[in-house]
Amino acid sequence: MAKDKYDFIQEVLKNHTLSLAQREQILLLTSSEIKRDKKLGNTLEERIKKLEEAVGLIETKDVQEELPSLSEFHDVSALSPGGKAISEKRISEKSVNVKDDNLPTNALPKYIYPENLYKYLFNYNQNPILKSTCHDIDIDELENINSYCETEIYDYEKHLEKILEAFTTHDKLYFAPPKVKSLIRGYLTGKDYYGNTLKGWSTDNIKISWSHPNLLEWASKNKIPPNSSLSYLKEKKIEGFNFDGNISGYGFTSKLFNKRIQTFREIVLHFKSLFHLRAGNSLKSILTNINKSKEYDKKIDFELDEEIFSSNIELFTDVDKLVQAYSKLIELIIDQHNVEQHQKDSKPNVVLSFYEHGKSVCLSIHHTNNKYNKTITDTIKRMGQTYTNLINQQINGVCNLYLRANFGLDGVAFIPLWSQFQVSAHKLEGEESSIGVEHILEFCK
Amino acid sequence: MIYLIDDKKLRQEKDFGWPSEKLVKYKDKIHPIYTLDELQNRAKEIFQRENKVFYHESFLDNSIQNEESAIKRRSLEEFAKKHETFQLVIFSGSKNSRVIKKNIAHLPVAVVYQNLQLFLELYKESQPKLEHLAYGANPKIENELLDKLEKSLLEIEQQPAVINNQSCYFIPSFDKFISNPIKNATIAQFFDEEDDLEMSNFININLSHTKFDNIFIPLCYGNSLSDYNGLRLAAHIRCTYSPNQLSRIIIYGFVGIEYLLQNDYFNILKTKNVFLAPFSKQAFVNTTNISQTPLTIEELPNQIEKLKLVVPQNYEDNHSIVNEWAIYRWATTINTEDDAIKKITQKINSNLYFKYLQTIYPISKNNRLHEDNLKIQTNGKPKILYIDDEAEKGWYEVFCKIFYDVNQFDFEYLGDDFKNQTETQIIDSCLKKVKEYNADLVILDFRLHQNDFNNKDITKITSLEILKKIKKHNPGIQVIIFSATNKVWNLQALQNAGADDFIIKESPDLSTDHEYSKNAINKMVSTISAAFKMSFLKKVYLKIEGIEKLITISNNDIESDFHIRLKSNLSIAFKLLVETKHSAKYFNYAYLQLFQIIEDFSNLSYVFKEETDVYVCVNDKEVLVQQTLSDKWESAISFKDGKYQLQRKEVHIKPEERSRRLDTNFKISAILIFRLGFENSSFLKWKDIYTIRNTKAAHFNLENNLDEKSIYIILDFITNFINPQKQKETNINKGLKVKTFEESLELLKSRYKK
Repeated sequence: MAKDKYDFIQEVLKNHTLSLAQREQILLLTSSEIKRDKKLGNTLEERIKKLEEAVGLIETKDVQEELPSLSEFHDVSALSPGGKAISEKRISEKSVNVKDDNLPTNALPKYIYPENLYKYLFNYNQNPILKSTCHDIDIDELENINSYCETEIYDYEKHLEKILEAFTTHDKLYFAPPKVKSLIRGYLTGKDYYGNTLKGWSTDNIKISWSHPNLLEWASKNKIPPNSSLSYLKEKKIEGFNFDGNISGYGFTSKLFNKRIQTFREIVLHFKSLFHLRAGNSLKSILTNINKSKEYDKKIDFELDEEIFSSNIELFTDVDKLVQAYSKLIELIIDQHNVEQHQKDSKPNVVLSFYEHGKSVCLSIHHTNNKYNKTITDTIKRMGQTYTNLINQQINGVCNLYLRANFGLDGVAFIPLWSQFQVSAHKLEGEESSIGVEHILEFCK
Repeated sequence: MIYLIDDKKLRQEKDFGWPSEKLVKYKDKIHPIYTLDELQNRAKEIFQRENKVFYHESFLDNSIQNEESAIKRRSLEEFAKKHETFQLVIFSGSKNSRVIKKNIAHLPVAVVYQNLQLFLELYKESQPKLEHLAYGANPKIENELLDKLEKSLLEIEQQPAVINNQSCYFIPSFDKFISNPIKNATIAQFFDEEDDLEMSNFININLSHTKFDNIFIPLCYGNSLSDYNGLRLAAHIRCTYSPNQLSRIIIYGFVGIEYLLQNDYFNILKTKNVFLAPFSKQAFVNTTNISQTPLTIEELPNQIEKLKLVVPQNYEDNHSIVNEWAIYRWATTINTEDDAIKKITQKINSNLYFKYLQTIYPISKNNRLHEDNLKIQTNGKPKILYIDDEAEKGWYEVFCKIFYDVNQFDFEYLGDDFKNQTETQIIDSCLKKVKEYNADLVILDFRLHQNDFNNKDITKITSLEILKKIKKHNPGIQVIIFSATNKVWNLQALQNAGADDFIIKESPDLSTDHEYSKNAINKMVSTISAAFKMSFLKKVYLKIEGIEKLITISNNDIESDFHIRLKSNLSIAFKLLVETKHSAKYFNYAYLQLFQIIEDFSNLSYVFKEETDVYVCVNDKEVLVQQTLSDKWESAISFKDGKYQLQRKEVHIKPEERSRRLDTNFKISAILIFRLGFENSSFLKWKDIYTIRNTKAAHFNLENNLDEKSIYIILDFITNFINPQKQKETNINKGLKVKTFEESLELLKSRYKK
């Protein structure tokens, strides 16, 4: 952090008119600025290197160097929905640490803390300018927009300019996995990091973006935001920007939500649904929908009770990646179940649970009528292509991944497959052998 | 109590139509909170088990607590989970689905405000369910329809339907629409027009220029899918004059006919060339291929009659429908208009129920009335007072045209400020106006106060009380009841209270007769004309009242008896006069009845003493008018030139002629001359009165009957004749000299001789 910044902050803090809340806010910003300065290093070369690492352009050194010690792990192993019971039963200190220093980690990425993603998305949603890209614009919000755009009548170009400025600032201020950043950049600009025009963004390969010329034409003509609320559009007797009359061929059916999207207003709400889970956009309804559309519900007996799968948990995360990860794990269950000859006549039984654990939110995918088909050592030593891909493509930066399973003769163990902790197994003595295989995705707030 | 916690006041007012004034109407049920300060100050009051909190998800986002917004929401939900009687609704502009878990709901903001009124109305009576806030009046079916719509949009073909050689107009719903529906179709700009005015405007703007072979309408659209607005829109198209009034209508929907059976507009599907098509582009093509002869304008009324619409429930009341319909019909028939009538005409042309009536009961040009037809025959310039709280809605203009523009009558109305008055105040102000204005004819609206619409007891209807009071004040004032009621018991009660006639407003069921309006106005003109003819009764009553005022309390039995008979005779005479509306002969009967009063008075011993000699009493004196002597009788007055005059007269008589009966003319004349002091008996038109009595009155003849003028004359005569104050002693010394003792003795002797 440059000296002049410190001087400035000191001067600001000396100002007696600051409220306690404002003072706290400045201190918070200062602390994150200091952290950032430290992370980026002092010289220009160091800074560039760090930035390149951050955007995943170069490989980093061994991830395990930064892993915390085992003693810090105790609480994490209690992540299972019955976590408390497990925690009591397990004898972690007596468990065998089978960590192998020769793990093939070069196929795995540098670990990215998922807390960053939450902050990135939460603050995007709270940002006074960027929030206008997350919901309908009503008359109150329109007044806000005109206020910060310093316009009397809505000016789309000015609004977009402000949005892109705010995004650039936000993007610099907060850290998130590159893929999330790319998604939002695609939504706002229709371009990638290098300025190349994208064919589409998100799993649904959405072609429209805030910067689309047709949107500019429409909004300039109508002088209202392209995501104006239905009631506002009706009042003004203006047809919303739709993918029929205004631009053809852009309508699509959302794979995640199994809904037809036909207007820009719906795109905006869809975008918000891609990062904010809550009642009304609950993970439960999304997974139920996926189970149906991918016909998982025909192959698996799911248990998804409200008591263990809360549908009103609020979480900012990359929903798209979460669902991809879920799908991969479900397909893994189906594959493993089919491998077991004796299981062929029965369906896998999977208990899904979604719950809060301290400052984390966990999704548990618990295959109850199976056992893990690898030994503990094999699991740790050779994570395998499925897990590696899963971590690379979906998990890293989005959530942590834990495995709790019956390893047959090895007994029951808990393995943090991808987290800030070392990949190691912790035997859970006293656990029933029928525990099955449970994958836990931990999302941090 | 509901606490509506929403920082977006402008949105609340402008976007969702909930300004403060509207919220205030429900102040005992809902309290809006706009700021964090207010929320904090009232926190204890708000977070009570029995309350309901409707909370804007981002309420704290612009406050100093913005970092804690998610935590606060969580706390709210935890509180609601602990207290099941507490209802929590979290709403937002970024929510696009509706979720209800027990006592907690997550809803889109538009849905909350859209259903808030219904929720509050239900809350007045009971504890409404959150489902009503989420889905409106029919939560279960609405939820089902929303799901079906989403599913149907996913399943519908992506390629457009190809319909050859037929022009198509496609109306998409505003929000969830079928994209790329029909190749080369004209796609409407449709904003989910839901109310009648919006639908009518939509048709007038969009369907009044180009004719299309097929018009496609969404079955379910707007705020409530279960309203099946498409059926109503189809009915509107059929009832709106436009090039597309007869086009084929295809209503496309994702539910079958079984869902629609209870809908008010279901019957539109029974009419010619209206089809219900499934939510499929192929079905669009198939429907247009159905062969059916085109609907013709001649067939239209019969087809539309199949709709069998009833008065819409959301209309103020049946009375308003009849009132507005009647104004429209009459104003059109007599060709008059003002701003109020224009407003009603616009309503008639946009409200589906009225449009339906217009379509099945059109007013042809042949049924219009010319001003000549509105001329009312009358003598003089009668004063008409029109009492109606809704006069300004158009009736004033209708009556003004008839009474003032065409007939130049004196015409006023009362009723402007009734809305703010109690029944008693209305009654008093009406009576005051009747008196001040000196009305001859009152046209009195049946229902003048809001309570009259709810009151089933006719005796408590305001107009009945006014009628009674007017008739008590002067039963001769003509009162015509103006009403939409056709209930016999109401009319009977009004008639019993003295209503002279009725003008019944034209209700839609009366319009089945295409000439009804014309005939009804003709009837009204003759009713008014008849009422004017009877308005002489007002004057008659005033004269009678004048006579009755002469009656004083008397200790004299003869006088008291006379007063009783006088009152009775006057009353009977008035009743007989009332009957003249049916036959002129009642003038004669009334006349004879009044003449009886004169005769009766002339027989009173304190007025006229008829013994051997005859005396007329003046104050406490007696004047000898006629006396009988031995061979003659002597009279103080004699009949000359058709009247009695002060002139002494002697007539020699034979003994058998001594007891001579005096005729009425002599008696009345003697009273006129000696009691009232006139020179002769021609004063006070007695000569005419007596002549009429003996000629016209006693011998009724249609061509030469009596009229009100004769009645006025005789009443005026009575007024003076019986008035004790009118006694004058002018002629008391002009009577006969009373016989001497010797003359009396001589008379006795002559009798004795016999």
